[in-house]
This record gives sequence, structure tokens and C-alpha cells, in this order.
Amino acid sequence: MTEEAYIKRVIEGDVEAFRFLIRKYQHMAFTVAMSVVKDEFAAEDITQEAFIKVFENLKSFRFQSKFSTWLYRIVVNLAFNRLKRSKRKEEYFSGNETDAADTAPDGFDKLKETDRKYYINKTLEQLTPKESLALRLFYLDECSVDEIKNITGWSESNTKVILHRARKNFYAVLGNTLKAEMKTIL
Amino acid sequence: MFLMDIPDNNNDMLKKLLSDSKLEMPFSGFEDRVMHSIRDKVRTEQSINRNINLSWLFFALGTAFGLLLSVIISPATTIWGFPTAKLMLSSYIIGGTLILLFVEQLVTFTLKRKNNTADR
Repeated sequence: MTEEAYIKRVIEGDVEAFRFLIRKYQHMAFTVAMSVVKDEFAAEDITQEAFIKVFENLKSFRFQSKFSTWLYRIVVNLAFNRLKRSKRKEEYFSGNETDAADTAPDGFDKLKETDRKYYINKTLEQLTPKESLALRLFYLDECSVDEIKNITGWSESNTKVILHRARKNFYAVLGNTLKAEMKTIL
Repeated sequence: MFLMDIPDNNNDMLKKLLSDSKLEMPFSGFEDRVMHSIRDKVRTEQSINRNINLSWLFFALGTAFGLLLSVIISPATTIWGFPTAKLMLSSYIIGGTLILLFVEQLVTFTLKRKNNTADR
């Protein structure tokens, strides 16, 4: 059965059909929320709230955009609102772009998968919410610039600028993280 | 340098690197918790709708019963020594005011619920 069919069943009153949508999107919705709030408990809370909102408003979904785009937009709005409310002072990386490399450090791909995953996520944690969100949406979920625009509400040029900065900072932070790690080991 | 200016191999490398950035929901039972909250919401919605319908029903029954009483009771009789004409006048005023207040509240609440449902 297609995703559209499940959505239609939910609209017709089959509450249990909504489980399919939760199962399919919970991890990516959680990842999107984590990109912004950087806290597992807050991200889980936001993901739950987003799914409930989606359920309540499913009748207004017109199938003009992808369901995931709509869901992530709700997650992103809730996450940025939560961030604004918490007013937590976070220190994010703000590197000098000219110093940044534009490739991954040598030998990074030789690391074990679990280690690679750890360093990538640690790197994304140190980027600003907008940068890590843009990177994950563009490279992980393979959203187009247009879809990112719809999800985040940023303008096209702003999206491109954030993505450009995010790529540079990503490599810079990844390099720094690995260097710091090497120092600890040696 | 924007997306279109990025060499393909660099884009592919980022895609490969970031494919490791998907996080798993770390809390077990997330799916069941969301479904539980949703079922609760549906139950609450149904009960609110049932209560609104019951409010309209009892309002209509009460109004009909009041009208019937006012027709049945003869203005010439007395109740515990009081002339019914005076009692009826005061009950009309009180009843009329209450009816208007209830109607206003019920209509406002019903329309609000309908608008909320339509907005979704």
C-alpha cells in the first residue's frame, strides 16, 4: 500500500493507519529536530508534538508537496520555537572560511563505520542549528534547494549561502575534532 | 561558491559522509506513545462532540418543557398564596434571560468547534 493510501485511510478515520507514517518518518524527523535543538529529550518531545500536529491537521494536507516536506516543516518550526524559548547560550563553531579545507581529512574513510558515524554526528553537533539542518536535509535526505526553502522558510539565496558556509565549516570542524582526538590518543 | 559550482566528486563525498549522520530514535516505545496520545485526543474530541449534541438536546427539551408549563398553568390560580400571573412574569424574565445566555454560549461554542475542524 502506498503512503498516499495510508494518509487517505487516516483521513477516513482509521487511526491505526497513522502508525505506518510514524514508523517510516520517526528517525528522520528526530534527526531533523536534533540538528536544531541538539538535545535528545527535547528532540523526542518535538518529534512527538509534530506527529500529533500532523495527525490533527492531516485533513488539510492537499498532496501538493511531499508528506515528508510538510512533516519536516512542522518539526523545524517547533524546534526553532523551542530553541528561541530556551534562550540557551550555545557555543557553535564560527571558523574562518579561508582556512577551511574542502575535503574530509586523509584516511577518514578508513575508520570503522561506528567511529565514522560518531565523528560525523559530533561534528554536526558543533555546527549552528541552521548549518547542520541544511547539511542533513540536502545530503542525507537529498532534499532539493526548493524543498529546503519550503521546509525552513528561508529564501533561495539564503539557503545557498547557509549550505556553502555549512560545507566549509563541516570540513573545518571535522578536521579539528580528529586532530584533538589524535592528540588525546598520542 | 554555490551548489552548482561544487565539483561532483566533492558533492558525492559529502553525500557519502553525511549518510552516516542519520540518528535513530533512542527512546523505545516512541511509536506506541504517539499512538496512545493520538487515541486519547480522538476520544476527547468524540466526547466533546457528544457533549455538545447533548447540550443542544437538553436545551431544546428544557425550552419546550418551559413553554408547555406556561401554557398549562392558568393565570387565574394561585400557588401557595401567590398569584400565578406575577410568578409567571418573573419566571418569563428569568427564563428568557437564561435562554438567551445559553443560546449565545452554545452557538459560540458549536461554531468555534466547527471552525477548528474545518481549519484542520
